[in-house]
Amino acid sequence: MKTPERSPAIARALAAEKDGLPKDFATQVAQLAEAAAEARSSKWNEVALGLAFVAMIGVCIVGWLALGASESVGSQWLASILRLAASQPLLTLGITGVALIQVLTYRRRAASQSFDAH
Amino acid sequence: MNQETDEQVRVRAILDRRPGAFEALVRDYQKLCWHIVYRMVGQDDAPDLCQETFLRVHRLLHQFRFECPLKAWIGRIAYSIALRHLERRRAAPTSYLDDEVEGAIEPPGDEASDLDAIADRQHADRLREAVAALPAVPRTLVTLYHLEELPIPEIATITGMNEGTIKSHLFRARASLRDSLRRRGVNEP
Repeated sequence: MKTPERSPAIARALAAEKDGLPKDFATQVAQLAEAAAEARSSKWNEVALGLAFVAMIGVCIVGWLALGASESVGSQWLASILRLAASQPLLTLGITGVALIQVLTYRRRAASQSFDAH
Repeated sequence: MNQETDEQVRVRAILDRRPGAFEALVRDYQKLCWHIVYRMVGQDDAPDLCQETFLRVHRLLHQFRFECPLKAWIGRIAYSIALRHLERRRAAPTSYLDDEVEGAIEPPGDEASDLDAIADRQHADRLREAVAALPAVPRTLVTLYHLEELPIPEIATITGMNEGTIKSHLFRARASLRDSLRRRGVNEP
């Protein structure tokens, strides 16, 4: 099939139409894209931070069980952990503090993202 | 001999998050994006969809493999976003030509000059109206071919249609425009 000829008349007629994009469209879109990229990367940071936190808790629990509670087995494990927590107050306080900071940081980020979205 | 092309340099600058690089890309291709999206969906939704197009371009740019020109890749994203929007609106692009039909129409030899003579400056408004009255897909193809002056293979990349189908659409659209201008009282020379 032949290739159609281009029509300068159609081109002229269509070129006379103005586009409906705002003047600073490129700037706005670039800012939005940057913010979206930032949000994506901070989401992965959150995931990594969460995993690290879980791993840390795991290590602590294993440590407690191994070092402080050779008698803690079976259905008594929760009571045993609580007893250990009471017997090692500084460690308990540290872990609780880290957990609290994590929760507060997450809440603050979530709130600021929701504010930015509006 | 491993010299990067301009497009590769440009894409790398954006992926490296060099300030202003993405904004420059948007500025260069926003008209193309507008022409595609506006012709497909109309004025009201076009700005939002153009924005969506460039946000997607930014998100997917690391997947761009330079298998086609960057312009065509961006155009394809714009086209697919507009098409999906039309489908969501339950106003799927009505085509007066089956996408698979090819070769049905051959143009008369002097068609372009006829149309150019008809559509001089004072008839430009009527010509625009006639283009606007075309169905979404041929309207977009006419814009890409005559206004953006994209080659047929690039239009094929953007729309996913094969080249014969695109040519058929273009011939049929030209015939339709000619008829439409006649009906609007523009005399052919």
